[in-house]
Amino acid sequence: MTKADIVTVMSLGVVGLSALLMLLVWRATDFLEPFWHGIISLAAWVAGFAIGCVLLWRGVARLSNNKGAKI
Amino acid sequence: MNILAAFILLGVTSAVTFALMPFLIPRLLKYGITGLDIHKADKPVRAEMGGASILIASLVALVLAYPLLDPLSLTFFAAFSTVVLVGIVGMVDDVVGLRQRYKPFLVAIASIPLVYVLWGRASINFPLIGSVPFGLLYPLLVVPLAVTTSANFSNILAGFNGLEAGTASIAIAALTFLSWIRGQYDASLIGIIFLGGYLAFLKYNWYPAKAFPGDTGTLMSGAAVAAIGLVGRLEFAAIVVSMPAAFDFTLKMLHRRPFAQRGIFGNTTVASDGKLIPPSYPALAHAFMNISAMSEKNLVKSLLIMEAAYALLAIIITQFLM
Repeated sequence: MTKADIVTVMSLGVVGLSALLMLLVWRATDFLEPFWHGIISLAAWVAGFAIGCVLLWRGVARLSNNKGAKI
Repeated sequence: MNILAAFILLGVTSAVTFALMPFLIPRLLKYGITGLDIHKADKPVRAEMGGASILIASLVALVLAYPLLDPLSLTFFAAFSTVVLVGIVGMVDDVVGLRQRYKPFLVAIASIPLVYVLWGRASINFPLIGSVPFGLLYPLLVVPLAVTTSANFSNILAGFNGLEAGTASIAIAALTFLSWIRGQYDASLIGIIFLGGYLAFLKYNWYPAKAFPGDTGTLMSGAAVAAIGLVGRLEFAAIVVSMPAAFDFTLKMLHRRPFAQRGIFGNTTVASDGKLIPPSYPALAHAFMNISAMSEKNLVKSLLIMEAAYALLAIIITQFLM
């Protein structure tokens, strides 16, 4: 494993945590009809993924000398 | 479909692609269908639209292997037509240069055969949460959106020698394996045809590249991933194998000026020692280059390891959590 593979590990963490967020929303919105129940849970996953991407980019900036543009 | 027929089909597609490339490269160079290999110090001119060889090989292989295969279904022909039509859209783009805004629209039109055969389907299975019903939105929105998104994703995470053909080969191989073991032969047949093409093309696309796939190769690989995922009921697995491209897309879209980054920050440059220097805007490849200075070859290896990790994850989730 090279230093660059840290990005892959971080990305897997982002996917895992956004899936966890989706699961929590799925449990919390159990009272909704099936269509909205699914759509809202998937939207939570997408939102978690987007936040995870920002954290990944900032994490990479923290670990490297080249900071890159802020997002 | 038996194993022997599958291997013959794989062999025919790869052999035809492999044989076509030496014929195609000088002609593409002669007619000016070329691109600059910008990640080399001397920026050599290389043949673009190498994906055309995969498109032609898939058609030739299907005709040659037809007597060996079981009777083919309408679903197979619809999915195959969608992938070929998307390849033709890419070819037109490589030759005349389509406007960016028309490309997703044309790719969505190419998905009409798939919409037709999947009309009766209404839900997608997700791990842990189960089946999510989409009703009529499945054929009318999910199918065209999946083909368009997947095709454009594979067009975004590109530009380094071996990356396009490598990611396409890994993603298609994982989905083909899953569809085969789940008995979804229409999907696995599409996978085998295009896997052979992309594996053979990788020989010409690998560092230092002799040819680039062009939009023909990139759009078609995304369409193939979507088609296998939709036909094989492997929608979630198709999403997982597309995660590296999804990261790249999201990182680029999170910037304040998502469509003007190249104009503002420029392209990746090459240092005298061959290491790549990324522009500062967010992108997946730039994250790899920022964390560790690396050559183009090592960057592509790291990105392919990432793609392989997601392919493995797709297989594990589909087999054990669904």
